[in-house]
Amino acid sequence: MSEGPSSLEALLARFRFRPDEELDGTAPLPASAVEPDREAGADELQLLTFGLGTGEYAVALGTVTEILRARTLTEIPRARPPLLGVLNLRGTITPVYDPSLRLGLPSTVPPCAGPDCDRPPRPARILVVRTALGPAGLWVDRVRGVQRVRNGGLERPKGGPTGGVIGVLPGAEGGCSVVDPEWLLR
Amino acid sequence: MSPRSDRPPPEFSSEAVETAEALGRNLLLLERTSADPDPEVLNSVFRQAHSLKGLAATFGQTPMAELAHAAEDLLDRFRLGKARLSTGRLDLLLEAVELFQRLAEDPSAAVEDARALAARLSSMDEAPERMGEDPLERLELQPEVRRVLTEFEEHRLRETLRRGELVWSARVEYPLDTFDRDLEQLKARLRGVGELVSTLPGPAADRLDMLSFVLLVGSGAGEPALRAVFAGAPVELRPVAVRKERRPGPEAEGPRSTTEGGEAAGAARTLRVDIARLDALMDDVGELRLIGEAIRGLSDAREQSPRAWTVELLREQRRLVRRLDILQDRLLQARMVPLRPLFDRMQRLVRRMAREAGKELVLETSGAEVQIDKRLVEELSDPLVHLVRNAIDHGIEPAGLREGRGKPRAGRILLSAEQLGARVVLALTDDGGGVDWARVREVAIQRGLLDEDRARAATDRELQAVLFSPGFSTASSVSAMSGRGVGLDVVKTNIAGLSGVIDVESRAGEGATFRITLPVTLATVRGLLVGVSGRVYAVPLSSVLDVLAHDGRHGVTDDGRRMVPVRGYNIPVVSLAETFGLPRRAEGGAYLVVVGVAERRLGLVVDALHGQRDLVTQALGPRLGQVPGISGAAEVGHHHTVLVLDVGALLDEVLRGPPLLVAQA
Repeated sequence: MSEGPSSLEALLARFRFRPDEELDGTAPLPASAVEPDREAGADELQLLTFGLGTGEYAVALGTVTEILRARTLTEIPRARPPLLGVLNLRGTITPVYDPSLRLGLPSTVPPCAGPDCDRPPRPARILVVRTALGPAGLWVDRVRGVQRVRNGGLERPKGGPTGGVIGVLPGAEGGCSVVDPEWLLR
Repeated sequence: MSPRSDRPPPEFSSEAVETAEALGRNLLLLERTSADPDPEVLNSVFRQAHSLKGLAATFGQTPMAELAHAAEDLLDRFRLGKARLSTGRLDLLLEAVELFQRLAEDPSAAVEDARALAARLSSMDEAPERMGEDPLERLELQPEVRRVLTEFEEHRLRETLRRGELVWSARVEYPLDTFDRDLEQLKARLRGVGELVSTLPGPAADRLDMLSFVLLVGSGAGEPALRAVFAGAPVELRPVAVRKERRPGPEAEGPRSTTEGGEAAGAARTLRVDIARLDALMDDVGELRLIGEAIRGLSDAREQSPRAWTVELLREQRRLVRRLDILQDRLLQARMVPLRPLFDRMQRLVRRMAREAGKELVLETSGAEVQIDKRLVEELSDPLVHLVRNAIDHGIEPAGLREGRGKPRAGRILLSAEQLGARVVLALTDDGGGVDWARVREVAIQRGLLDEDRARAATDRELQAVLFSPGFSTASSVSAMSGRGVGLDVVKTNIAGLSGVIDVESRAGEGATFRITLPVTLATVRGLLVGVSGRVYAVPLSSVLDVLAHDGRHGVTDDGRRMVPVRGYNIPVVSLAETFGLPRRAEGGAYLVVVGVAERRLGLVVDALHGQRDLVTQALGPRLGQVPGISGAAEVGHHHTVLVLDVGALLDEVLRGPPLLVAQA
């Protein structure tokens, strides 16, 4: 898997990365699911994997338009979770949400908007996803990398597909649920 | 005016006679070419009738003004191809010219004749003559070009096609300092070869001192003849393709080409600017150049005493800033356009929608000459369409019902605009049944927007807020046009995004008025930055009435509302920190910012004032939708985004109770 990181870089080149936004290294990719030097074909699914708390999750790479280093947000008064705040993305006001609540997890996002917020933790990222209602941000604790899965290569989630969990990445230790960002934001 | 018609001053008589004579001459000129009237002559006849009307009205000569108005109306229809020039009609118009001259000399001479003739002229309405499909639809003009054409230009293009001629698109560039003369000369050379129908701004020219235009020319002459007219100047000339339909018309035989490549792409979101305004801008640029020279001169004058040198530098700097301020003002001015095209669009829309809804309708407009920022005009279109639809679907009753209620069969909608200082108020009034508050109450309970107790206790004014909340729509049947559940909330959000507010006033059985209040310009919104619990918010300055020091003292009304006397009036006050649920800070509440919309007033208690800024505001976007109390966001300083307060919504909230819906996922 020595090509792992370099092919990842190539894939992520289309995102606006600044030098200080290098990833913290990628998790080992399960050999069964990945053939590193092939272009994505129609029979393949590319997934961006990320961490929330102790769990691992993934979304289809095609839905992610940008990965930002987490930053202080502008607070929306009287906003309720999971809305964290908004950021101004080159002139487009983009709301940012905490995905953990929708997944039934305890929130791991520190105060991130308003005058009393903390400096966001270094590995934290905001995934900007394309949705029917315009761009939206998902605050995640860390980004792992990109994985390719053959179509139909996802395993059924335990107890069948539920809600927005489309499937489970095969071979990942501890399980990695693939989720639908639209569902996360609903 | 006194009822006795006083003898008008001589300058009126002489000017009226002169204009009437010119009008008569042109009418006779028209008669000779009635089969294919020269558009320029038609235009000038129309203008003459128009100025006669203005002249008569200015001097209080009502009979003449009314007659001129009727003549102008008929001529306008000729001009736009909505009515055909016939001998009978020309006779009537020439009769009017006679009367104008008699009235000009003696205002009491032929008052009754004038009235009768005006009535006959006005009764010359006719069914639209255009049959079948619109030939313009087959012309492959880009939609953004099509959108900016005036009704007159559209008519001229139709005429070109009807004559079997081609429409040519020509991209030309002229030097900035002579382009107006160059265009006039081109127009003159075109005479006999073709007709310059429209002059549109073209894409940015390569050279900074050149202006580029896209001209639409109707011509039956071949390409070589046209090229000769454009002699010398570099030009991209091509015919605009005409799609062939079942019936191959003569126009299908000409050379074909497509307009792809977007030669007129610059026409999307473009603006026509009065040349005088551009000239003034050029003068500013000239002045700035002089300042540039002066500063360069200063760098050669280092041997002067440093003190004198500094003084000179400061003087030039002040000149520079002053001139930049003027330039900014002029540019903002150049962005201003009259509302007329928007109102005209509504006019066409009402005709179509009324037909579709099977209702009889008249749309009247006033204040079409009011000017607002071009971007506002664009953004206003959708909300206005929505309100018009709303009025037709839910406001105006079917003709039968109207007669039963003793109203005229045809419903009446009045669209009006008025400028009040830095604000423009647009009002859409219908004479329908008014808002059915009982039904609003019922639906609010059904949709779970209000619980029963609260709905029953709600006053009509409180129910207004429900009317504008997401998902609310009282349409009992889903019509083709509205009632799809996307409703007034979208209108309200759009308007708030323009830093405006919307209000409704309803008179049961008599109709409703939706009133939109907007700033005149959007390019920048001047905002007052206020500090609340360590946060910074912007208040649009257009709604700030007063800023006062606040000592925290206030009275309390029976229903628990806090009041503070301000300049002799008690106004309700509210702590922005409390309203927004923010933690209180020790130094809190030192200032009172008094905001107001229409006759309503509210004092906002804030902690700090951070000065004024010109803000470029952005909407919060569809996902967040309506955030109570916030209309948008703007970037200030370095990557710092502040929220802009929605003053209208805050007023609603404080004066009517807490918001019904709060932003969530």
